[in-house]
Amino acid sequence: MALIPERFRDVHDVSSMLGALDAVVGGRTSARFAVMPADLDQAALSTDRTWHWDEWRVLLGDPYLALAVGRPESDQGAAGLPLDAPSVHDAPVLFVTIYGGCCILSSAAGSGVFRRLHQTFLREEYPSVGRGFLDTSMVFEVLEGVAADNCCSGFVVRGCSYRAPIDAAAEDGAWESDRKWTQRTLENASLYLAETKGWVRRIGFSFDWDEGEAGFCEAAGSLGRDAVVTATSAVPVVWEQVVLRSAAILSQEKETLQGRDRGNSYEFPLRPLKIRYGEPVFRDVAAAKFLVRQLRKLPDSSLSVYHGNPYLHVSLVDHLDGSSFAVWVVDAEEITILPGARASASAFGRLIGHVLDQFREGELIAHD
Amino acid sequence: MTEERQAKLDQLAKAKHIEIDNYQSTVQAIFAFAHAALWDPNTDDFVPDSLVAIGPKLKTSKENAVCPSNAVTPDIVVGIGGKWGSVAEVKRTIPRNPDHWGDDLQKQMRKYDDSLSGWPQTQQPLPSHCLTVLVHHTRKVDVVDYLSEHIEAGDLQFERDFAVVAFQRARDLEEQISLERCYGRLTDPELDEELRRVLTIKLDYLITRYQLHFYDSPPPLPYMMAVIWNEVLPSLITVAQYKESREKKRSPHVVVTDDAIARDLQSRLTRCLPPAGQNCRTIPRKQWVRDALEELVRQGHGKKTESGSYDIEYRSFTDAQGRFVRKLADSQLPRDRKPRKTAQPQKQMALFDPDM
Repeated sequence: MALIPERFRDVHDVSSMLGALDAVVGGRTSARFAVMPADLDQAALSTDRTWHWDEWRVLLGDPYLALAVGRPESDQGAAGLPLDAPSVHDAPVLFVTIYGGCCILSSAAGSGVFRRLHQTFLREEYPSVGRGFLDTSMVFEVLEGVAADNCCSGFVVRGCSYRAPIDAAAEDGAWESDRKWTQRTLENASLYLAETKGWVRRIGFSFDWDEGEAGFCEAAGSLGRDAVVTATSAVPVVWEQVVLRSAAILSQEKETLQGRDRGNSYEFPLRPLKIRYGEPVFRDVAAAKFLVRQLRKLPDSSLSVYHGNPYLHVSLVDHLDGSSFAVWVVDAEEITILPGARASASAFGRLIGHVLDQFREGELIAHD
Repeated sequence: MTEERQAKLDQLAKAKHIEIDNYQSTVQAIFAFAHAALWDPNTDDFVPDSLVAIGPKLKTSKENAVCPSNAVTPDIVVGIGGKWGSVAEVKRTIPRNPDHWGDDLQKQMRKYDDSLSGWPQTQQPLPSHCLTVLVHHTRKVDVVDYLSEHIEAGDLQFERDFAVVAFQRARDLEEQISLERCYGRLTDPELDEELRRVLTIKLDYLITRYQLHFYDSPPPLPYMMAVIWNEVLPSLITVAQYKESREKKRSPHVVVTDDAIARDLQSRLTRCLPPAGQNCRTIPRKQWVRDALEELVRQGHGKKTESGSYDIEYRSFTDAQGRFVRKLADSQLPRDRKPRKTAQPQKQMALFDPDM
């Protein structure tokens, strides 16, 4: 697999990626980023690793080509463009870089192509790289961090898509989705979601950023609970303020999720995780049934119901890497997840992210 | 499939699910009892020098009234600090007719009313141990009446303390197991008083501390198969195999032996118990694992190799246990008779063949 040109192999730093991305974005002002917890390092990405580039090309079709982070030589133009690409805009280049404990994909590709690149990358690298997930509090933590910066002014929530229980008192857990275009402050948006008991799926934002002598620029974009960031203006500012903050939070989350597997003979201690709701969500057995229905929707997994009523005990196997979990509901206010012999951080994250989004959002508690 | 057969199949599958539920609730009751006896809530740890052994093999003395100098395997034994212990049997279901309880209750408990040796911790007899019968609360009145009657009549006597403890699952906002000493007494006065007043233990407490899968009784076959399928096989397949199977759209294969799986499951069960009982690895028994693997092969999920191991094709099911239950139930129902082909009415032969 010698498709990665030699000149791109020795670049490991984020600033060079940004420079390269800037060159690719060129006249365009938008870029997309996917932040994912990872157990890879930059050296492995750029040199030792065998990447299935051929498959990617087949999968995505020419002129799409994904390349590792690379510094363009000054007279070579944009980084990593396939030679047969008619123009910069026709060749979505995927930059892959490592920041902290995360792997970040960056591209100027449109949303459809980016989603495919993201999914293909995940399938290729799982479980070394897992799907990122941010709950509502994490999304607000990232954005509040931006809004609180001295250089930031006029932070506005432009849009918000969310899910909320159909009826706040409903006991079967079913929800509905909604999307609002707003001009709210962050605080106001947070209060609104709390009132509806809703959880964020994506928040659109804009803010002014003081660049010192260069003056102010308006940054805009959106942040989703899948840790995918869209920057529609001032890409470097969004990168630094939103993408990197998200990566820092996901790195902490990865610490919580990893090292919980037990070994074939259970030689490692049991370290369960709980999702706590703070109210008796499972008072009615219909909620447990709804949870089972939602768990069955987790792609590439299988579910076995050991016990369904009155308490819930199911076994879930992740068919991407063989991780297994026991999911119990023996308390009306919480879900307990017990890791099995193999339980990768990526599989844990995939399961918990799915439950928090597809069933109902709760607080993740490590029960060590 | 005819409607009648479908109805019978549903009924049989439901009965098997109930059997699994009974088995699981019995396991939960056993661990609840062990937890009540050995857990110190003040230190949030086991009482020092305590032991729990599920299905240990103990030896009776020469003087044993029922089976002298023989091996016995009670469902569970607990021992505290080498001072006292309890030998317990669990009766989740007992025959409706008390005439059949002689073997079940009397004979079995009298076997344990002896100076038993081979305790996992000491190998020597404990200075004292009591006898405990765990029964489901729906049978406690019948059992207590039966025992009182026989003890008062003098045809049943125990030298050691003897107690009946009733268990049941209870649900408020949390799932709980309640234990009530409803007859006799336990040797430890504190535990006896706690159980007399009815002790409830959160199920959450048990699931995060113990492996609540098996006790010393063969599990229902589909349950054993599901535990192997969901909790053992997935981690025996490498990540590379999973990846390759996705690329080639073929299920991964794993070759296993009954011995290796039994050993893994035995280690898992005993690791959550106090160290003193950890050398007592007998549950699940190899035969249970072998039966489950044979049934997996019979249901078409793999084949037995010449060396005696099992080559299992690990497919993805939406509900593995439900599938195993239905397949087993289906094999246990007599086949529908195929409707006999009705003979085609033969044309009446012409009296005179026109071709002739």
